[in-house]
Amino acid sequence: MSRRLRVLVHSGCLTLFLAPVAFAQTRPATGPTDLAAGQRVFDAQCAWCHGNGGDGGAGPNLHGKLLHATTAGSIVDIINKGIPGTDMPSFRLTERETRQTATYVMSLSRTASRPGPGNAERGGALYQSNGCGSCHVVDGRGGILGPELSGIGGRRGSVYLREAIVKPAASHPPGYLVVRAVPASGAEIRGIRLNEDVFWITIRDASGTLHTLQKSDLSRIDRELEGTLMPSYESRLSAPQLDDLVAYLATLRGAK
Amino acid sequence: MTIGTRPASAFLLLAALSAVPLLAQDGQWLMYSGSYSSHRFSPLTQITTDNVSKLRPVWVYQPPGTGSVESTPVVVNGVMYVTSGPTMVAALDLKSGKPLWEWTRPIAPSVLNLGFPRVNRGVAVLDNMVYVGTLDGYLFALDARAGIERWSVHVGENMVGHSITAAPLVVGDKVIVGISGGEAGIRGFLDAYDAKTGKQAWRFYTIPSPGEPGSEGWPGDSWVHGGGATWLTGSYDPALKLLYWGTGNPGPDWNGDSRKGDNLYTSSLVAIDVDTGKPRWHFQFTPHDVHDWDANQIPVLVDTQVGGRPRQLVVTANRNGFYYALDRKTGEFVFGTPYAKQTWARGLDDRGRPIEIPGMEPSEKGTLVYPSLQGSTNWASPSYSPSTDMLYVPVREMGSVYYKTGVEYKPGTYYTGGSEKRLDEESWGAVRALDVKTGKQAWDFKLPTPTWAGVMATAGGLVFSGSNEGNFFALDAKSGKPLWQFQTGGAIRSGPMSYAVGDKQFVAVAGGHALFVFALE
Repeated sequence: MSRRLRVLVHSGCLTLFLAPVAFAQTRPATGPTDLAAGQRVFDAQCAWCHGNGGDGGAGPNLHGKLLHATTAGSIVDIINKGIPGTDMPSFRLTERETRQTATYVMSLSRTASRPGPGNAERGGALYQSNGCGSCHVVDGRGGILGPELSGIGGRRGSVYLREAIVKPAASHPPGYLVVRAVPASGAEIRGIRLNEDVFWITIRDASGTLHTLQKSDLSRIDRELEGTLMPSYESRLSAPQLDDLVAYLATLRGAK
Repeated sequence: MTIGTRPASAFLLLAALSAVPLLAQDGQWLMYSGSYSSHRFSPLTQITTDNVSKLRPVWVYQPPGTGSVESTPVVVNGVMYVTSGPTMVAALDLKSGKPLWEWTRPIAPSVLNLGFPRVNRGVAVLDNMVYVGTLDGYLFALDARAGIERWSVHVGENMVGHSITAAPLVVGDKVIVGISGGEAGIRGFLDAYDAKTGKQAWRFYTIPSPGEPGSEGWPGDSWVHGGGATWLTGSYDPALKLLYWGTGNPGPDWNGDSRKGDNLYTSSLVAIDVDTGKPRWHFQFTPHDVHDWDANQIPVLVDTQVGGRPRQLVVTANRNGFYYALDRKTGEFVFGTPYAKQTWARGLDDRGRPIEIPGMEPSEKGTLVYPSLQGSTNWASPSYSPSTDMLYVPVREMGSVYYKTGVEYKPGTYYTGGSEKRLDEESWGAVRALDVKTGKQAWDFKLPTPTWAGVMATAGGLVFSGSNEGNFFALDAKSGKPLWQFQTGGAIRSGPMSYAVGDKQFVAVAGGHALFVFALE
């Protein structure tokens, strides 16, 4: 995935997706053609949020049981109307394209989130022993510096989860932009940007301390599009341990 | 002061008789853009670069309902008229900020708004009437004293995507009103109605029918759903009796296969004889537009010197990334130059036509182009200051990946033939000062995100604007240096204005769901 594409995927790009693909032909769809056509629509219009192959991104992982749909008909309904109260917008497809896309999404959901090679129970123990909970909340317990993980298994597929642990800089989630503010005098402050307007910026540093700074007092502000406060666990965990941790995270389908 | 003691028509009559651009006389703000020239410039001088730091809120108005306020208020005869979404008008007492009346058009959830939010951007006022367009496609005349309906006309069928969000414009005895629906495959038009009776005076279709001039750029029956919406208020030159109105994208937006040709008069500025509704001249900024670059920006009428020669110009920073100066009598291209990042054209030829770079059209795989679909600027008003001879432009620096898809027309649905993915994280905004005579950037005040806020310059040497992040701020008009700011708590997607009550100057702007009024403490 290109850097730019990744930025888009993780920025929760809430573009109004107006009128995606529509074909003028009326050739009746056969199974494989349907699936292929549906995948083309999905790749161009849906993968931005749902990830390549529906593996999850800003939008949910579409493998396994879907949160809002059980049949192709209900997927068609969701594509046409969106899901109120969520970031899922409505799409303007022809009936044919809608049906084809729904067919493809159904095929994804039938591939139950391929159970990875890892052991979720051992992964849970690794989650504890590696101190993940000092920055992340699961089921109400843990620290607040990083994103909550209670429902992460429903939203993200295993490919994404693995990458987030190994190369966290490549996958910072929306709302966790790292900035570095350099005051005209005094030490620089690096942390998560909680808020920013034309004149002020509020940063939470790695110790959890809040800094609300007036921009006119700063000599510069750097936005680290690749930045993260999360360390890479690539060298801290063995390959089987990584599998275990990913398997554990995949089981988290909590409150959200 | 009560309504009726000083008819607004006196001022409008003055304007009609005078070649001098009408300013906010007597501390009023008579129409959407402040004047027929659309300078959005306040001649009031009480608030200055020296004292603006003492600007404080004096009252806040929160309209009924949950609609956001994108309106510019007008102040006529001692009363403020402001609108809110989807369609609500309030008359406010200038001393207390409390409503004298509120009028709401019931808008069912089934009412279509294809391609724009459920908003209203303002009214026009003449004599004792307030004119407002509705989301469901009607024009209403309300009694200015009581908010009671005097007449209404059905301007366009909402079932096929027509809607009205723009403030109408009153010229002489006519109310001029434009229409939205460029993403729904409408055939765009501009209407004039008799201000007293609502009887239609004329209709100008922005898409010619077969045989009319320009129709050669519309193969087959593509003109029927050719777009060219007129969804933002225009300007007027009383001496030339010409209306200047921007037109929107052709339909379908991103797939031009069915409409090979220039697609007049889409993405154009059209000068229209106000008496007859006939076009006198047109200038097309983006021939055969496939990026949805509507020319629905406020045209600004400016008298200035270009190359040592006095010129009567209409200038505009267009959504396509270029700034244009045209002779407003003849439509002659005087000059044009890029004012923001654009990657689709090498420049403009000597007639102002873009020299396009091949391969920048939307594609199935996606084509990255600057600016984004929403353009280098959009409907947010620019401002011209005669004191600095600068045009202050709300700028959006952003690119998009443009997709082209198939398309078929179904009444009351999107007719666009594609989509875009915006490069959100790499985008930003600005209030940009351009030398009106050259289009060169004088200064740039950067904003965290691409702006939707209008700009107002004042004779006090200030430029007011806002941000998506809720800041309402004042800049030094000469340098762009920030001098004052107030956090309104909601995104500013409206144009600031200024008026006076007695010897006190006020500045007003809508932010989020409320209207804020400020004065020196």
